[in-house]
Amino acid sequence: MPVPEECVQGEMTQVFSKGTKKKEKKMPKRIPYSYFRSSCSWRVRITLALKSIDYETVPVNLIKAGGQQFSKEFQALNPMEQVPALKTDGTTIGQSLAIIKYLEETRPTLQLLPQDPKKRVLVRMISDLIAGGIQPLQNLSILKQVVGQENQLAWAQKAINSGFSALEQILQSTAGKYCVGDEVSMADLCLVPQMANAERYKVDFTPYPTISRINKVLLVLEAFQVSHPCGQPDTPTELRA
Amino acid sequence: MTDRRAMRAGQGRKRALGTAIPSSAGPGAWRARRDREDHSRPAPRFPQTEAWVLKCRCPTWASGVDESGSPRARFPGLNEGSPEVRDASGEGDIPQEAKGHHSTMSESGKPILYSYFRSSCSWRVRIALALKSIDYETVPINLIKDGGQQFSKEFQALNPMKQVPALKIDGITIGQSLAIIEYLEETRPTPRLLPQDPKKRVLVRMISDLIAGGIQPLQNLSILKQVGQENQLAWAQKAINSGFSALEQILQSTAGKYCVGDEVSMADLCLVPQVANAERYKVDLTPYPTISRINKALLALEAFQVSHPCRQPDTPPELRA
Repeated sequence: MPVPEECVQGEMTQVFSKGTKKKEKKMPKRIPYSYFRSSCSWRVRITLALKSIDYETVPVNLIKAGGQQFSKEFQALNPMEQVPALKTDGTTIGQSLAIIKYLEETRPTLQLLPQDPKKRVLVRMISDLIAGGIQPLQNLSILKQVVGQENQLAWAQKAINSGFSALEQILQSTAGKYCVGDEVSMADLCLVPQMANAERYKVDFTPYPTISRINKVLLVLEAFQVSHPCGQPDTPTELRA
Repeated sequence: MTDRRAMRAGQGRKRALGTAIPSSAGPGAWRARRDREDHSRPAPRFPQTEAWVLKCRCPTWASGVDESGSPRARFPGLNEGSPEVRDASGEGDIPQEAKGHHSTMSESGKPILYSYFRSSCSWRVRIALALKSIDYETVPINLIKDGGQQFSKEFQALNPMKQVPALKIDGITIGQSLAIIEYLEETRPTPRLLPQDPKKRVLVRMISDLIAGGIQPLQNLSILKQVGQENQLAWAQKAINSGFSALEQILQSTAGKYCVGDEVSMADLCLVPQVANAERYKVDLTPYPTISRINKALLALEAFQVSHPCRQPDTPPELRA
């Protein structure tokens, strides 16, 4: 989908262009490099919103011009050539869960990990199930290697169904209002974006009533709404809410 | 030599996974062991295949006495200290006295690790357990035999993700290697596997996630099965090269003696097993001198050796060190 030129160029100028001068302004402390539709980026945006952290997004379009994440400039920031990356406190971090845990440790208001180690491990387990066990397998870069669009859909559905079957079973024993008990946690930040991916790949949610229920209650919360892909600086007009 | 060592010396190397306990173990030894067992919990049943409960006696903590009452010596070498094997399913050719033996908890209430010798994710947890000197029992889960023991109903009830590793500890069962390691870090904090400084901790986690989330899942057995045999090697190599290129670049700024500075961290626990995978898939490591250097330094450490795939209870004889 085409991204409005002014959106890409404006943001790109800020970071990548050395020659063009925009009006000098003080750079905010935290800069997430994000793609509107990237589920990994969304996890970090939710975190920043929940913790009321001010930030200014630099969009990185994963499709345009072969993928802006492959540019030399972005690769210097994040060798993994992936979003999200977060520039904060004088450093740039990649990997969404590493970023979230860093924010949790340095900005602990509104905790995203329970105090009890036995509950913390459940939050981490669910987060890793999604972030390591589902999303990477239906990532854009993987799907590109699967030949044929119909195969890509089947591949993505298989990855998601496989993970969601396990997750639905786990949630039977961990979930309260949310994934683990009744407080929003890192696991919930992973669940909602993954559900959005599942919808995008036309996964049937009938076998996953608990996942669906939790997703619904989370989407009502402000942090999940302001960070939603349909309302980002780089959201294409036709997808904007 | 004790009876058990004699058994091991004579039989261990010939015994492939799942085969019977040699009769030289003797009914007496089994009865003594059975009498000490905790029978309060039902044994897990793996009807499709045998599941062997193995005591992993890591040299770093070996102590106590054997059946004869003699003090158990600390292991002089890594190849000694073989497991006691109990059949949790009640099937297979094992002494009558041992059938129906309850294997979910050892007599001393040790954690139980569900592991496959060659699984890089399992190896990460084995290293952590060794570094923290945590005594545990191994239940090997063969990912290939009988279509994959991880798909049995019983294992799925333990770990719905149907993956190894899983760790039964402190009354809970946890999946996902990094979640397990962070739990061990929080509940058994010495030695540290995460730096105290949040800015260094995030580097450790970033590197760990790069490997555990960005490389390994893409060259996992279950994925490779989907790409077709003729494509598997190329697919695995691509996943690993892509991740290692990034990692090599990151390590330029984070590495000291190890991945992050000069202390062993969770990142190192992820690196070594991933390099082993890379070797298995014939990845050329020439472009990754920092990764290679750190890998070599880590492999010299005892915890990385005792947990090595070539020295596990379920390592096939032909792959055993």
